[in-house]
Amino acid sequence: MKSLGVIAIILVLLLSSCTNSEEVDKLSLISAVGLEKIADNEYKIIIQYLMPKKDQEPFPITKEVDGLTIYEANNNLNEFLPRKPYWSHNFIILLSEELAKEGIRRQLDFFRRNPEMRQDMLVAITESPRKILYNLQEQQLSGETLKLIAGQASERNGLGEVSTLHKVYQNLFFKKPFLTITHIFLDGENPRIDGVSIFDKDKYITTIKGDEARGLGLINLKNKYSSVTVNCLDNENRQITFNLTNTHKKKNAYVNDLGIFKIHLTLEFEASLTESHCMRNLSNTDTIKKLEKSLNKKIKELAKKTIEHSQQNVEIDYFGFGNLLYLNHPKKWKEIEGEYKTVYKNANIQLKIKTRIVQTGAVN
Amino acid sequence: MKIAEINNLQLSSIIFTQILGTSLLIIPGTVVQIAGVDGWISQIVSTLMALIVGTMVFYLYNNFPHDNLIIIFEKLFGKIIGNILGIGFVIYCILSLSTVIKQGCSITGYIFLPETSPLIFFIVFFLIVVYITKVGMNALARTNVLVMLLLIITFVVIIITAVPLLNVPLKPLLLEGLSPVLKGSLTPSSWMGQVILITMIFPYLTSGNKKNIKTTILITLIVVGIDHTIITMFTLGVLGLETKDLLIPVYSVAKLIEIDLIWRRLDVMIMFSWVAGVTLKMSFWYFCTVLALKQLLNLNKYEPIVFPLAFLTFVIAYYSTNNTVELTFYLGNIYPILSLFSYEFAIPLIMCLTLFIRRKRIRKDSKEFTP
Amino acid sequence: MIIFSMFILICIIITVIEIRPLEKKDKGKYLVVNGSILIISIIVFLIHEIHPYSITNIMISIFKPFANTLFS
Repeated sequence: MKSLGVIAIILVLLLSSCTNSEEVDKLSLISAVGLEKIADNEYKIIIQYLMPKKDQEPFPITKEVDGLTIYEANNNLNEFLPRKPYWSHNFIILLSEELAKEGIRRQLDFFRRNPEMRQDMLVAITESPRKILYNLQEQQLSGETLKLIAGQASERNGLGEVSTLHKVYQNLFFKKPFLTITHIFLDGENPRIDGVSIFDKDKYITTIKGDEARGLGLINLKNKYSSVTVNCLDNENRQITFNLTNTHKKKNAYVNDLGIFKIHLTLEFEASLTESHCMRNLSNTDTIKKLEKSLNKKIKELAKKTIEHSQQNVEIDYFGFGNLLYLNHPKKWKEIEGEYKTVYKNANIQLKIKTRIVQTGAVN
Repeated sequence: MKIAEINNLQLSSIIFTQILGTSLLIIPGTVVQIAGVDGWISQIVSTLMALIVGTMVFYLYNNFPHDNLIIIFEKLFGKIIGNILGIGFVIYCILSLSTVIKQGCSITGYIFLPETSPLIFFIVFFLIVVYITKVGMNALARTNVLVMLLLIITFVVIIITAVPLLNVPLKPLLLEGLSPVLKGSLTPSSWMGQVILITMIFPYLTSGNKKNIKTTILITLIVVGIDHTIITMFTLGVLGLETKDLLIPVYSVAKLIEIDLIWRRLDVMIMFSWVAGVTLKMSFWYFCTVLALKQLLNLNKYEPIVFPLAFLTFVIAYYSTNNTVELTFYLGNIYPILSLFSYEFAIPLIMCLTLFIRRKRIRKDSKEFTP
Repeated sequence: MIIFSMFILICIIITVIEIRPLEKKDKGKYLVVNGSILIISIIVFLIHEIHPYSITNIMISIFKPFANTLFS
């Protein structure tokens, strides 16, 4: 027994330092990565890393590397980085549209396979990741800013879901994936979120912007903030704006006896008046009723527009109705699985929207 | 020499950490691979299976409260068959233990210390296991209570904090019928069936109230089964079918948890409970192996063989697998067959039947258990 | 290899220390048991040095047909 103790003490002495220690000041913290295609099976990998400065915010530096895979590029990166590249704090993965058309699953594999990687980094589609990353370097912004912007756009403006790596993969494992990914656009000097990219399985199809993107947000998100503007009741040229809070959402999908795919959507909102350019007094209850009606109409219009776009223009179900059918009526799903595209194109989607105006603000 | 005594709380904590020590992290992945979305139903089925094994264990205890498994073998089947079964049990223990060790070392290395040489883990675990076994049953049982608390806290915290992440419905229910569910239940059954090791420590149990021991075993198994079910439901709810794609799904769930700035990176808790649970699981398995060998060879004390046998086990463990793919396949598909058709289900069943048939003619003499 | 032989050495030392205070009759028994355990572990090690194998791999190749019929 005593001898064991002696051995233990001797071994403890060996533990006085650690091998392969990684000090924070010996790492290059990678904060954003962009992938771009140059030729068949050749990629350009653009990396933004943070250079720490004494008594200052770390400033971002952008570098470009070639490589067949990201890990290879990571190793090539060592040729011109002073320290070890460290990936765990990466905030955003930017994929170029061209690359995404070939499927995004294999590009993201590296980020999932590494056990140190966090799964909450943002995946985003953009026309040219290189431009965005160089722009960020000019403006001294790190990748985190982009991630925060995406969060804001989704939460406060109803522009699609924040597509983190986890969400993307969760979606890809559904029976009928309905992937939507944040799209970033370089608006002059400023990168901004301008819409939602839609996918067929993991292949990029197109990006929806403006009204369609808003409609998608209204149908799919459960948001607290999103605004809708309608015309005044008395004057077509003046507007009145409401903030919508989604309170209840009901989706039901089934195939009826005639083989028609039927979808019932019920959306309930609470609206609060935030700005009015109208002349009429709002204290009248009839006016409120009428406003509610025109709000309903407007929301329906937005949602219809998106649904029509998905059914007629791109013929892709990016709302997840197919998945809904699989979850609730798996046998019916099996029958129509093969020709889902045509079935969805002829689907009968019924919208029911209920809006309640609950607040009109501090002014009467 | 006075035999160490284990009370009911300690007994239940031994069963608890013994099963949940490794299964808490791994079980959702292996089950979902086979049973898909219905993985949580498999867990319920496996709990029922474990209850049968638990009842058999109690039935044996009821008849042989002062003997351990090796002596029971001899009393039931005679000297020759008894000894063969005993040697088989030692080999079974060493094989199971070696995969547990490999699992513990490789996962600790894989997630938490990827750049450290795996040999370090083997040496560290080796020393801990040898130390715990030498200290004896009493200390092991008491530590188990502490670790059980740790496991319960980890489990509860992860479940509660993962609630906001739940967004995948557990549908469709039983789409492919019952057969994938039943197949999926084999793997967790092999985990839960490890309760059979309790037969090795019968002499340590306080033989006050036999009924209490029965309820302790069964209730602990039910609690473990509920834990398995809930953790499978939650990983499925958070990750969806992505679960089957991941090596350690629960760890991925813990990594996603983010509630404000305070509750972040709960994977630290996972590490805590994993290392503690795996160490105690190893120690308990090893303790049983040593007891079995000691009883088989008719030795007076088990202390002198602790170190060499541990060395043998760790050498076997070190060479037990080449890669994680092999280990996962072995634990998911081969080990259930290997264990359920031998010492976890088939042999106890035969023992109980034999006992039932020739209750009156059991040899009363033969060996006695010595600590 | 070096670590392995070091551990063998430690094993022998500890066995000697543990066995010394025992009675003569027991001594032999423990020596035989411990010795044979050590020899088995040396054999396991040496076989692996000559021909790298893994126990799970052997198990898998034996039980795989059985597992396939059961799990598929």
